[in-house]
Amino acid sequence: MKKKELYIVIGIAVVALIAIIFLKRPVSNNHQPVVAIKHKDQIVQTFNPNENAIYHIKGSYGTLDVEVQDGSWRVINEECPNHICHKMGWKTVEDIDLIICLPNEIVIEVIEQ
Amino acid sequence: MSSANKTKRFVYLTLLSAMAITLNLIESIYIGSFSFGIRIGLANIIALLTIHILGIKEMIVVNIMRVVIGNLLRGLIFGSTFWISLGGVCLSSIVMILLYKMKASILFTSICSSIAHSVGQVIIVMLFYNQPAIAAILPYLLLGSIPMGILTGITAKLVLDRLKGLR
Repeated sequence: MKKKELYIVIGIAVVALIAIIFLKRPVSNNHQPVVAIKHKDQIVQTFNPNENAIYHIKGSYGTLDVEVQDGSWRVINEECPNHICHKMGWKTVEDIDLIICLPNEIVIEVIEQ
Repeated sequence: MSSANKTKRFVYLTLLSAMAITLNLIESIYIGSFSFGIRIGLANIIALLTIHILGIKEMIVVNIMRVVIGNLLRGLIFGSTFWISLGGVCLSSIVMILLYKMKASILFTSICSSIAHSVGQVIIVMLFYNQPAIAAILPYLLLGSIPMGILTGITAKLVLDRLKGLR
């Protein structure tokens, strides 16, 4: 490898490293996360996961309650045949997967980090 | 070009295509990708060999054959991975041809075509799948492409030193 080529490769590596450091820098977030409960693409309820509460939601099959406590949330008292949404357990903003109840057509999803 | 010479070149083209497809399949089945989707790119060795042994046109044929038949054998033809790898191969072929014309060293050609392969894939995902956020992965891919390009470049150089006198 010629010297000029070596410099180009080192240059690309340095640019990539700078970009990684730039992307990894801590982002100051003052705004609160927002979680939405959706029924058939319609947002029926939004909540802040840091405020403890229980939301009563009506789905296509029956009703369910969403319990919010200390930044995480779960489904309780659900009226559906499989109870998969309850078995998903507690979810937080960091979790990638959503709580989905197919019989009720309910999706609980983070819409703002 | 005599008929025997033509046949010889054709046999080499076929052999190199078969090797590229096999390496592509072996890599995708047994090695897979590391974090951030970084892959070794073993088939790039064959592309480098082809452009030095046979020429530019043959390298394009080997690269296209590798993508089309490799994806056909894996059952992913015309799926999203097919188009993404086709985009990567197109850009890496263009870069490889340019650097070959500029008489750059094999190692540098290998590194640049490996980088171009990642960039091409990211461009396809950005433009045709409307996912511009994928560009955030580009620095990691660039950083990962360099060692992988060095690896394939050294291998290609070792093979080429043993294959002198074929042209």
